[in-house]
Amino acid sequence: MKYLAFIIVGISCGALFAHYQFCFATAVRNLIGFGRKEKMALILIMIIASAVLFNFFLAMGWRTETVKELMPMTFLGGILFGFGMILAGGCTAGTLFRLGEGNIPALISTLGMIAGMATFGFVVARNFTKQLPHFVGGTLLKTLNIHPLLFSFLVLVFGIWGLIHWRSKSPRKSMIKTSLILGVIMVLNAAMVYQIAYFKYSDCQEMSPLMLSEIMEAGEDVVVVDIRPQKFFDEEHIDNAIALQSLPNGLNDLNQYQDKVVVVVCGEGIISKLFCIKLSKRGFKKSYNLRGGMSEWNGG
Amino acid sequence: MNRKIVNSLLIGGILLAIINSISFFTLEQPVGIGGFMGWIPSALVVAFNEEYARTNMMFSFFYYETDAAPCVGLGLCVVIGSFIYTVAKRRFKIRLYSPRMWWRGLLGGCLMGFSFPMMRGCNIIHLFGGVPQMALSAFIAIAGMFAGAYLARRLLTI
Repeated sequence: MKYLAFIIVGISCGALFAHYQFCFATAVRNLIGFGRKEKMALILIMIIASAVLFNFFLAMGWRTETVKELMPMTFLGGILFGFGMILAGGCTAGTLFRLGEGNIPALISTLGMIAGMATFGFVVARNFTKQLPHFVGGTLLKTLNIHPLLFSFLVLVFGIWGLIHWRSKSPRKSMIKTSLILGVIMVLNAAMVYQIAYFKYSDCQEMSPLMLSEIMEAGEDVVVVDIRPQKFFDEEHIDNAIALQSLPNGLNDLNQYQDKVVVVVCGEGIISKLFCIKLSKRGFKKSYNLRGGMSEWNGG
Repeated sequence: MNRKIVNSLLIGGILLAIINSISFFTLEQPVGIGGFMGWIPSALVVAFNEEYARTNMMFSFFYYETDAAPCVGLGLCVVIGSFIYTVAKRRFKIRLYSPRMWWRGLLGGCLMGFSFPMMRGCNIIHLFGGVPQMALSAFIAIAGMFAGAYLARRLLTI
């Protein structure tokens, strides 16, 4: 499966690089030298769309960050690379796709890159046995404490906003209209993102019915809070459970159990999760949601 | 820019981002192709003197570390993909250009190759992986690339 992904991604990239003549060196040269922005616009669109998708994956916990370490010589390396790519007439991508097109200077440039890396290995890297000196790699999102989901959403909204303006024939006239439409979309989506983040990143943990029954049988100090209507509680409930409806001061009466293990129960384990999150936000250190609620407790 | 160019750039950018995300999701690494150039000298050193390769941080990384593997495979596949595309479009042609271009290619290539380990990756891994994740190292590397490109434009007659 992984080999197939290699081939699909690599060959698609090669074809797309060749079709769009994707080359960072050409983009920078066109921008600095001639004020032409097309190639840089292509790179920017790719970065914006990747930022939306990557940060969504990271926020959902599907993938982990792949950030490179910051080294004392990163900037110097960038200068050497920038100089080299203008001299050679192509960056790494530009060189490789031109090599596929039959360009001989690109082949020589590829050989030069191999020689350059070998030189670094023999001259510099031989002095280091484990790793080159580096700082801990970080991201601006972590430094500024911005959640990846929020960042992904903001990039998406501003990307669409910029795109509408870019494509519009009369950007000034459409500015207010576009801003209003996107404002509404942004508010609606912000609410949705907040809800997703609220569910996914809360401190509430799940407890299985089996684990709860074992804890109770072991005689450990556990407080079970049943949040269902009184009628359902009266019909059936877990032994020693407290009915939230019966508490005169509601949630405030539970404050005495802040340091104890508190397990919240509802019918299906969905609404109890929200309540569990609420408890953890109020300072309950060991609040749990009973997975599957009473239906799973009863073996359903 | 006319609408046709805008649409073309938009489709291209989004397609590249989709491919990049597929790479991130399946290979657990964004698109990066510089490792291809690091693996070849590493494999040669391993073939001739494996003990030395094991003690050398760079050669051992490119040959033995698994997280360098996607870059090696992708680099090779990019060349193949470009070849297939140009052959399909009937654009493939061996272009020799002048010997001056060869020398420039060699010198520029050497500088780029030497700078890869200094930046911890090629420009593509920083553009496709670092900047979308807002990595500090990527921003610093790209700032350096712009500075280097500006210097080259000033010093070289293109």
